[in-house]
Amino acid sequence: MSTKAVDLDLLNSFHPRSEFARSTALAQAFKFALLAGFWITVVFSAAAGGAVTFAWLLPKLANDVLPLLISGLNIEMTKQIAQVIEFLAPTITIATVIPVNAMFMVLCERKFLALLTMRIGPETVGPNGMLQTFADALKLLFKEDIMPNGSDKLLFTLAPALFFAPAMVVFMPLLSVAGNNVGIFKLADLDIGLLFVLGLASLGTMSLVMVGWASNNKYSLIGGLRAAAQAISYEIPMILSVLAMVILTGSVNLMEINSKQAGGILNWNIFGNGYSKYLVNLLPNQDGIFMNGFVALVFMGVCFALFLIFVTASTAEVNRIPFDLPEAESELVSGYNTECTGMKFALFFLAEYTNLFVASGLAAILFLGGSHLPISGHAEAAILDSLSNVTINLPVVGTLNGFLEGLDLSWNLTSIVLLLKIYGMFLVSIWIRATLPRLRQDQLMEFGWKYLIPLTLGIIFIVTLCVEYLRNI
Amino acid sequence: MAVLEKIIETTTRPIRKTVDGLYNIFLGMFTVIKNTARSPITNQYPEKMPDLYPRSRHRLALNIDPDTGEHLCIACKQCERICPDACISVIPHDTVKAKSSQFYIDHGLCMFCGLCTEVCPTDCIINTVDFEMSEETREDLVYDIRKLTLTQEQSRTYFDLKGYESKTKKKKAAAAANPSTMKPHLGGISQKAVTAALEAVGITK
Repeated sequence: MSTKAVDLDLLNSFHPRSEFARSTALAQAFKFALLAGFWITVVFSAAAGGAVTFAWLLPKLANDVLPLLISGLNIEMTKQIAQVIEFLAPTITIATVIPVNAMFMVLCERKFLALLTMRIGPETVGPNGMLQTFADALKLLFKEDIMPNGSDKLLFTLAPALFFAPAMVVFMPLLSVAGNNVGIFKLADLDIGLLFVLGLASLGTMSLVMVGWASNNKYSLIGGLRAAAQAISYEIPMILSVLAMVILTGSVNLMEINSKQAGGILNWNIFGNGYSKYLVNLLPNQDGIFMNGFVALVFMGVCFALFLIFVTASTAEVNRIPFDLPEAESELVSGYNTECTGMKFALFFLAEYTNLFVASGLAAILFLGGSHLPISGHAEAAILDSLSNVTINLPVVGTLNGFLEGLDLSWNLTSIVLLLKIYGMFLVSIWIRATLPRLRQDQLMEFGWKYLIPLTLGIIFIVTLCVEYLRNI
Repeated sequence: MAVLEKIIETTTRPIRKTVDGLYNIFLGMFTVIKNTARSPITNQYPEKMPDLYPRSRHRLALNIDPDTGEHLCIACKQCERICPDACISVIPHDTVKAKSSQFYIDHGLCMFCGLCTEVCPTDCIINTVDFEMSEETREDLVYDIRKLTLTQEQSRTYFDLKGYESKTKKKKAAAAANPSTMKPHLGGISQKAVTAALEAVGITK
């Protein structure tokens, strides 16, 4: 008896089927790369389009063209109109980038997770399933909005919005780093950037408790309470690890922290913010003191540990696996958003991914050099210089001549670099999700309070000593 | 000495635990990332049929002789007797011997144990590899003889797959096993050799 597989051509002559090639690992990886390239282009062009239109094109048109169209409009008024439009630019940018970005992140997560678990992932909607999340979003928009029996209607309606609003506003300081403080985006450069981000990010937890309470469902309530407990426990190590970086860079302004890490990969905070040069002193027969090298080594190790702690704590903060207890689907149906339908669910979903994006962005800015390339500072400065004053000559003579003069395009480089770093961190978080199982509630609390917080406190002490020592060499 | 060892062990325990944990996490993450180099194992069933094996037990069917085309069922009712779910009912022909006039199998009751195919003396009833038999009503799951009987080509396919032998083949095999039933030939010399010899002397048939 042979055990060879059935010759299906012969057997299923009465079952005609379409040819379906078994996809290989290489084909899957290629498809994923295609998707990532396509969607990053879409996300970037959406953000850039919104920003350019409102920060430069429309104000310019209002200044130059409006007086020609409407006679009797004085210059003061056109200037005011232009200014109002210009001030809308950061908001518009955020409003365009958040939905598009969340759509990309969901699809990217599904595809990358499939790649990591030897599956195929969404494939049917659009080419290679690229429009899957778009279709999902469209579906969610038209879904019925169900109000559960006995729910607190006001809180239940308010909670998604209150969850989404901070996520949106938290985006603002990242925008200044991405946009390299060009033009109107200086607005987003807050002196208290980090405080602003951390303060607003913790506001979202309140609405999780709110929706858990308001939906009159025990699973939602447990999810909301878990979210609150988790946020309280893991905010401390996260803020402590951020504090270490603040001690190191001496600022809470994200832009300043970012600019302190310019000049190559060794200047990034994860590798000790440039103090790694003292490692040479560890070698024998050097002029320097051995102690300098030793402290630099300890400092580098501690910085890397801080990065790991930050990633862990921020993963818990944005409720992702292995810390996704508030929405543990095997225990609590779907957690705090069990009763949410349609747009409410979509808002929670959107805000969750935006929070993840912001957490990845913070990791990228605080530890991975922000918007700086991993090459030496001179080359980067040269590129930025050449981009900061660009004149494009249009082959048109007349009023349009000189329209594209003196453009500051340096934001292109910084935003692309930052975006790539953020997505890199995002891929790492998917990788973590594919690897680690969910913690139990008591394990979560034990890990947070008994290990992470004492560890971070000790590390802060070491960081302070090291920074003080290394600065005074 | 023992006390000192104990003190060292208790003090270094958190560090060892941390290092151990981190090592295991990175080990796990490495294991997961290796999967990106492996092909997906998803069975995309409606688009692509899964690879089934010849002995996989799905829908029941009745064979006809792949060579002559006559129905193989001899209405012996062995399958009906052995069926644990009593889902088979064979109705013999009124006049003709060893022939069934009707054959019902309720696939709603069948549990695809394959006992009927094992007892069948003529290799008539078999498990096919067709498993897509959803119907709109329960009554539609009761297959009659027309629905059950395969075509000659399909029967031949299943005979080849399952390694059965048709009646004519069996006869041949039996003949090969028992030389006394063989056709007599010219004293052990083959016909071909005789013809060749005759040709050699100038006599052609």
